[in-house]
Amino acid sequence: MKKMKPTMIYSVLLFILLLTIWELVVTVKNIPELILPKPTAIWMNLMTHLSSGYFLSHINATFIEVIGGFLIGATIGVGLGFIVSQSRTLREILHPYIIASQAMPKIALAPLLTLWFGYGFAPKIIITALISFFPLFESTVTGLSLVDKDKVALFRSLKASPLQILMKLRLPSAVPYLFSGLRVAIVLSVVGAAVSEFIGANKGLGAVITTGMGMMDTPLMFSAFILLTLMGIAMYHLIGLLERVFLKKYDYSRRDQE
Amino acid sequence: MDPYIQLKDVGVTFGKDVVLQRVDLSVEKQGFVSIVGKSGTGKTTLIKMVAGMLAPTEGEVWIQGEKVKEPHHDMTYVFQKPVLLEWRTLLENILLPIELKRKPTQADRDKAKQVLALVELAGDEHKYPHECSGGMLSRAALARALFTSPNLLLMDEPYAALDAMTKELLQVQLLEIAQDYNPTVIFITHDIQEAAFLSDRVILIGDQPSRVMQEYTIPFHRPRKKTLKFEPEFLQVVKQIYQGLETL
Repeated sequence: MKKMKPTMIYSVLLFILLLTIWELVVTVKNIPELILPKPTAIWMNLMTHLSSGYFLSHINATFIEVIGGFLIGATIGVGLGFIVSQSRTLREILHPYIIASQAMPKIALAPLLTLWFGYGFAPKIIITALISFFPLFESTVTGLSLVDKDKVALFRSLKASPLQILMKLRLPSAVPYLFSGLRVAIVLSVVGAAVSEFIGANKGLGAVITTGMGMMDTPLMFSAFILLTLMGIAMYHLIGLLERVFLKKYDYSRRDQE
Repeated sequence: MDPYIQLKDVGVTFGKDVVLQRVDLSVEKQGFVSIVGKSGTGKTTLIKMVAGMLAPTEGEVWIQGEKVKEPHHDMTYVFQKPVLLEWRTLLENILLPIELKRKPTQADRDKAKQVLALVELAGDEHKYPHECSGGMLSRAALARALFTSPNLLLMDEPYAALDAMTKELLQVQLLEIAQDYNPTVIFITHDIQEAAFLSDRVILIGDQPSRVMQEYTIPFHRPRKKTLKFEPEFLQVVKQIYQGLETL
């Protein structure tokens, strides 16, 4: 069996220590469950709702919104990044709109989107896509622009066409940047989906949090919060796994350490 | 007979900075010429002009009677760094020049393997650059340059970052390859011993702005062996060039 790294063991021990302190403080200070439930109470709540299947439909709903929003956002982000990095004119025309799309408070759009698209998946997916597109856009532009000058000179010395430079040099060079954008975007997608569910949703883990608030069931709010966090971590590691498989030949992990 | 490469009254200015001025230089066909000069004297600028990767501000560069306006079809350029694509194996890197023209055939792949064997990389074809040492990468870069059997080989300090032993090994290999292929070579270096060992002629450039200051004909016949480096006549030539460089 693979041996655990000492840092990993310390990390787990730290987590257990923090939970123990939390449990003790709540018990000794007699803090009401409505304000701050004990970790054991949250755990019981989580297990009860998981075994009853209560969370299943909510996890499904959030998952659909995360994946849908992420895929749409990633496609638009990579596409726009690709277009903008190829044409200075288009970059100058589109740049103010792209910055505005990120500067505006996207959550404030949720009521409007609900008005236009109803209470279904659409408004949540749109907000998630809006949030996740920017990291992909930025990493695509950076990846396609930041190419080793000597490599470009090599291609030019070999009389490569601009299209060949793009396909055989710029795009492969940009792949590691794309993956780092994907990692950021997937985590933001979970945040985007959950927050959009706060407004006008009856399904999804974000909606569970608002329901918990309405019912003054703080352990339920924490349970949904834990599931959202786990979903984000799982997605992040899934992208990390894909990255390791795809970039095996780039050996970027070793390069980063050097 | 017209020289193979000719630089006529060439000058290069970057903004207000005059890097090269009134450079006149000619290289005969199948000649091996090294350009030596201190750091920042415009050696790379000069070779990039010959490569057609940089246009001169003044004067003209000619190759085989044609004015250079773009990279010459029969030229390959070896950079200071090996400049291999890390997502391609050594074999795929060697095939890149042909891949930019057409789909590589089995014959191309066989030839690429032969060239890799020539630089002692047989069996390493499927390694990625990160799996290779600095010396192996330099040899792979040379193999890529030789793959298309170019008549003009431009080398910009290709061995500058290597240790002494690897450098010597590659110098001997380059001499053997130059003997077999017989290309015209311009070799940039700041290592006087390397320049004297490899070349027929050594050109010193310097001054502010840089121009050709001295020219030395290397009097040793080919093929040359590495023991040449210890012979008194060779050391005398190196000393002469060194003194010339010191006066700049």
